Amino acid sequence: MGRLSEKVAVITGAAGDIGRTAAQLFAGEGAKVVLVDVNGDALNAAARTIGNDAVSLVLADVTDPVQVQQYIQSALDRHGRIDVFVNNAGIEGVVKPIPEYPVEIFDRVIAVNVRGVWLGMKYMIPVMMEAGGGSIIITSSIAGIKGSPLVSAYIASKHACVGIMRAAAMECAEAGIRVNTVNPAPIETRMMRSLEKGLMPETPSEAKGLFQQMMPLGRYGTPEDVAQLMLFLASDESSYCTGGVYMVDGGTSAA
Amino acid sequence: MHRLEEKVAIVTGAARGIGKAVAVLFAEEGARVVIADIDPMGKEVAQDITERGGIAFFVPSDVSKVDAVKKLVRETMSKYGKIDVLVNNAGISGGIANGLEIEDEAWRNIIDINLTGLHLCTKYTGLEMIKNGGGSIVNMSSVLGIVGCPISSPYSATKGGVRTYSKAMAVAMAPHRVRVNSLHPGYIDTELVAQVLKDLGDPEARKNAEALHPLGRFGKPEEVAYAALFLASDESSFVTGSELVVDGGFTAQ
Repeated sequence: MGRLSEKVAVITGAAGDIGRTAAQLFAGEGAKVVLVDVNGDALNAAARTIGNDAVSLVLADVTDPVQVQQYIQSALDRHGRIDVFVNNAGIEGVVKPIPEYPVEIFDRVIAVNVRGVWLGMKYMIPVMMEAGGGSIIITSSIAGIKGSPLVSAYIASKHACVGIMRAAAMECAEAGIRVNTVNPAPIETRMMRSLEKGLMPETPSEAKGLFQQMMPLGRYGTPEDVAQLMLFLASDESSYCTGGVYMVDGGTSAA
Repeated sequence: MHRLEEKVAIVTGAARGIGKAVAVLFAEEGARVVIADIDPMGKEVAQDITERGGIAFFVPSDVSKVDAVKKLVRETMSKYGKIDVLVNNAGISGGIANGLEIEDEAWRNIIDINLTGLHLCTKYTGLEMIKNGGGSIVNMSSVLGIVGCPISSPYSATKGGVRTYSKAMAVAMAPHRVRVNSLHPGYIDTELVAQVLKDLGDPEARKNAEALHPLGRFGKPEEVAYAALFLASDESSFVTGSELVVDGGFTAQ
């Protein structure tokens, strides 16, 4: 009996390292999983990696309300209901101080990370209300509760994720829909490779070393570390957990 | 399921309430559970677990006394040779007196049990965990370790202390791969909470307290136990220094 037996989960940003790993873990625990991403090739590659016919794919741009409704409807057409929503799609932007940060990139980061998350909530909540409940997990970050230089768009967007989560948790508590964030510190992903290169283009591994030094556990986390926390929050084991910020950061925010 | 297979876990205050639910769940997940409590009912909890095919034994313990804590650790080490998990759950409510009303003796008592006792268990168990190459310590705090309420000042002093103590110990023990996290339940359906509500003498007290939680109800001891299970297991190996909230939305508003 898996921990997500009989459950249907929709995961956005499912072609990324964390999304794909969560999808694999959830499928292994008995869930039917719908993978959503804007990148078709990466989505196909993710499905091949997972290699489990409990997963299906939907191509969608989370910033477009029509496509958000479409991915949700696609999941409903296939499975009849949705129990778990991992609102995970996100981009990192660039590494520049605020005065030099391009406005278009700021707008794009907010569009995917905030508007995309919020649109997901807007169209998913009525589906879960109809069904009498559900669990929504928004991927925030340590950057959702702390500041650091050079990634202002990302930080603003991840703080906003915590705000959206709290607002939704309050609105939906009576309907039995739980809403929480997961907040990772640096994880071994494509996103961190991009940020390391943005910080130190000539010596990105030096940037990684600097980040790791600030972390009590002295290392990045793995996508599996984040996926395990998502699994706990997705399952009925966390039935009294809502409105919470759940860190998976190797102790970084504790120091 | 075997999420704590082969792990040795000490659970303090495991004779009833949250501690008992933690001990029972951990045993179901394959742990060898050491039930520590000042209350002799702990023996029956151990017996029940054993009768259902789990592994548990009872060590009568007053966590506020250093000799009792050393004995608890010594007995566990001599039986199993290691300690993988410590759930520091033993605690009292301190009644319904706030900082202006509480008697000096009662203040010292709640500090001794909720804070000093938790520290003593962390210290002596932590030293063994470091020798063994790692471990997980779960410290029972409360939503009242994050916010205050009119009758909670002594309790909040201890539970707030647990919260930041856990972060400091997490940073200190991270190089040794010992993780330390605090757990923050809302109001949970236990005898401790029932007694506090009774002492308030107000028939509406329970309904009013339930209404403080967006989910509209108290939590169940099992719901806290599952959170403790996640923190105790290797599934949370990148989670340390965190405050894991199990509170029906209490602190989100």
